[in-house]
Amino acid sequence: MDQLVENVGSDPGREQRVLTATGGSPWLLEVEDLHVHFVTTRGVVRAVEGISYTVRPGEIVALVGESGCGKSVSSLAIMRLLAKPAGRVVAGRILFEGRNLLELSDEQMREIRGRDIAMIFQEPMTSLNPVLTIGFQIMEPLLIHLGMDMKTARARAHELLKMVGIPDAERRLDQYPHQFSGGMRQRVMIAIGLACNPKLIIADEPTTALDVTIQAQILKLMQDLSRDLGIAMVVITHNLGIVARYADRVNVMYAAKMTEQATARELFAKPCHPYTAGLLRSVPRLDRARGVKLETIDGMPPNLLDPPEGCRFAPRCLAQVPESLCAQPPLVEVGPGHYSACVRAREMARVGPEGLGLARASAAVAVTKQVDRSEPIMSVRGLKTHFEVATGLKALSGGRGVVRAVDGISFDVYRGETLGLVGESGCGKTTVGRTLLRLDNPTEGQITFHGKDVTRASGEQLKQYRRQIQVIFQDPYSSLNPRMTIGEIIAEPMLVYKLQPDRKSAREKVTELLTQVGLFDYMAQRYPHELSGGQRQRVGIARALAMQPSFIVCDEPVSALDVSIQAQIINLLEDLQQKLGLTYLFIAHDLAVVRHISDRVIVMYLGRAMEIADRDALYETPLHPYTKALLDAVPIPDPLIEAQREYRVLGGEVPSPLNPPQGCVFHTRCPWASEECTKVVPELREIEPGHFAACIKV
Amino acid sequence: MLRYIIHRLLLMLPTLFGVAVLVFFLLRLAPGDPLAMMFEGANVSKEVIEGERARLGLDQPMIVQFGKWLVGIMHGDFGVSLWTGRPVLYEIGIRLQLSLQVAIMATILAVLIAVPLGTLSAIFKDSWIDHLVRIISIAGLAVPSFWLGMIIILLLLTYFSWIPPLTFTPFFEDPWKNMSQLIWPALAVGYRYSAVAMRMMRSSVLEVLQEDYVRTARAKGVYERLVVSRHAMRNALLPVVTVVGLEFAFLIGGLVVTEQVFNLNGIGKLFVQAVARGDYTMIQGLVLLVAVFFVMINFAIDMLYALLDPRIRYR
Repeated sequence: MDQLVENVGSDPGREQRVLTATGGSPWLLEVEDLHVHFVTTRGVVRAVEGISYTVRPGEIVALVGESGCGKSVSSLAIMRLLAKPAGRVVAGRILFEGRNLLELSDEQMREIRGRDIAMIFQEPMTSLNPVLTIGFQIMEPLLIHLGMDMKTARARAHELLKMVGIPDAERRLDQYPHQFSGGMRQRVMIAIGLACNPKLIIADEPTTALDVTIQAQILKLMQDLSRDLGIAMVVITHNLGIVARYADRVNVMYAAKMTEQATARELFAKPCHPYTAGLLRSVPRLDRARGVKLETIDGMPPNLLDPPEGCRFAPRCLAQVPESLCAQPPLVEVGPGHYSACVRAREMARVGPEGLGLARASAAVAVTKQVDRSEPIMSVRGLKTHFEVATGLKALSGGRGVVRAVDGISFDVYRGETLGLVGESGCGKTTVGRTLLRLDNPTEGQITFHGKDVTRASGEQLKQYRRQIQVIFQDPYSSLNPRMTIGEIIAEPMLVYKLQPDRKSAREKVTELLTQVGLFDYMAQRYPHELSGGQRQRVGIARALAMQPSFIVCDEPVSALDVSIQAQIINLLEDLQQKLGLTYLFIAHDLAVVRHISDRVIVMYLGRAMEIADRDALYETPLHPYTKALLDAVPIPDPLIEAQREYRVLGGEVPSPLNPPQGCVFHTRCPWASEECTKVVPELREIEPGHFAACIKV
Repeated sequence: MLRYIIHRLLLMLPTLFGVAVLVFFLLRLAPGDPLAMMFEGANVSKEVIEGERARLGLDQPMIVQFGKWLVGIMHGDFGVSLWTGRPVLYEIGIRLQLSLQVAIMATILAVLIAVPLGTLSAIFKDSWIDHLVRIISIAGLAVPSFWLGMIIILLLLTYFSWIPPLTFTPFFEDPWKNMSQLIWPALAVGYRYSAVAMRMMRSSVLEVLQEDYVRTARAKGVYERLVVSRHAMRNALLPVVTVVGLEFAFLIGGLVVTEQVFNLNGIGKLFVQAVARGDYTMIQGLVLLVAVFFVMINFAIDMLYALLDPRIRYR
């Protein structure tokens, strides 16, 4: 800890200002050597082990790490909101304006929560009380902490709602959370956080559950508010792009320990811990040439019930030195305000990650895959999938709404290629996948597979079709039957379709498949809950491969996974494609991931294709304003680029597919929209060879 | 909203018709002839029995009987009891007040016991409070209410040398006397009934306390007691409402043994008598009545849901 205090930054004037503001200490928040344990039936989980970090008034500090690294737990510890009785702080100090929060009484702590320190949580959909009005939930801290009367509090709540950009605030105050979209709810959460003019806001993954355009809006809002109101912020995130765009200083955590601390610029320019370097490299980026393969960090984070001796990262580290040397590395200073917990940190600071052999050959630029475009394997024409919705009661009165989930989309997929399908939530991309799989029935249009019309296939024909087209689902946690072993899960489709004559040969095939997806054969006896998220997703892939399909619909296959694991799965999918000649429809919301894996990309919005093009054409010269906005919204994990970038935040939200806008569906949010756009439904036109866009202004 | 209510009320008709069909034909399919029961042991000639059968209309084809019964119901005439000769509605009416009152009182008692104890149990999970409440509720499930009823009477008798009045006094005639009679059966039944609701409330509160919005409330610095009462309990009540409501409907016709213990002349007792006597019209009337209650209470639960949870709005 000492070394941190020695180095208070290079701006003495600022330091002085800060000193007077906080009564002696330059820090608003000091976390010192914090240890948090969770007592479980299987033993003590050391969720946070000796982390220290500091926050100055008005500063945005990021806490970065993969799931389970202890970043959320440490922030809950600051609020003293750890789950009782399992979680407890066993050592350390948390000084807020010089007072140790851990020594306060429950009542004193309650007074601080919401008044001096506010918290914004990850899940806007569940973080607001469904039975209380939005207005009351914003007013509550005002009534409690500031002793306002109802009228004043309501006026202030109204003001707050306007401040966070919710139109029609007066009426909205009396509404309930379910009448708000996810992005709007997160704005409400911010309004609640701001209510009492706190000195510090802790935001735990505030935008993870939101779409990119909404994410950009919310982060912009938080950044502006922090700057204008001088509120310090601790942003907890796994997304390095967000860190690059918004944070002043960054703390990287790995397996309950602090691994690296630096200013954002310094960290991205000169990472001095192999883990940080690995994280930076395993994220597919929009600003870099596409590599042959994503670099990965092999293996998995350690189990915190029984963590390894010495450096936590050593087992996955490429720059690892003999174990005795890697024993419990302390945080050492490698530059002004830059600390790293690696025995080779100083060496790394000198020679860079490449010098330690951390760069891999895979950084080479990829050669574009040769795809035979003479005949499509699958061709889709004018596909529409509509759902009738009627809440039980409406059904009686005959009033039905139609959700136009997919509203007329046409494309071809060629053998051996990966067709990416991107769009924000609710754009219908998953429904396209499900309709191709015939899990949902198309309302209109035609699907041809290998020259055969399968739009209305049934019985034996459908069975034949389904054998050749398989799916990998998004959530590896809920898409595997928890009561079946991994072996049974993979063998089941083979036995149903009689691809294997008996159980014995099916078992052999399971072993083969497990090896193929990078798992071990003994895992066939395990149950899904015994596996990690990444391993489960591999099981999902093995199950799809069991049918020897030629076409796989990958529905957000990596979005539930951590960055380092995500890269492993993407690489696996690419390897399998090459080896088995598979064709993928890759559905995702992450534009960078789609860019990495796809040969061609479709951008969808409200059930329609906005743009279809070859990958490079789409990302380098996007034509459609929506594609441009999407690409703008994605933060790039490099603070220098981010600082120079001029991006426009796309306002508004995706309209309801129950009642899509007339004319061009995008006109309500489009920066180019004119009168004409509200009338004409733009056709998808071929603007350049192989590059289609649905916009009259292009 | 009004439209919705009308819809729901109209939807009840097919349900009730189904119940009517079932009870009517099942009764007649079941073995046992009401007339044979009526004249059991009496030395009467076959002609007399057949005459009586014709008088009651039981000699007609089943479908005709059914039709007549239905037409009667449409006019609010549920027929006369085969046994007493008085109108079914009259027989039910004089007992309904008592049964309904016991059911309502039992429900109120059950809620008063279950909601606070269940909540306490959840808040102080795994403490002695939780264990105590668990014992109370499991005892409630294990002890039959008639036994508890007898114990209550015995205790009142031994320690206070007092027993509740034996004849029913309507509430509006003498509320005090009425209550002093009915509070005991209501307690005996309500305690048992609270046991299920208590467990339900406990698990429901425990679940809600894990919700993100409860964490949000705490992060706002809301007082812990308000976190529980304002943020957690209203959400936790939803599943409990269902249990309580359905149990209430059951109480109307299901208090057979307790009524016996406390010597109450209620619907339960009438039910048993009617079945024992093969009193077709009475059984049909009672079953329809209970069905109406079930349907109505289900409807009331749905309305209550809408009141508790703004996400549910009926159109």
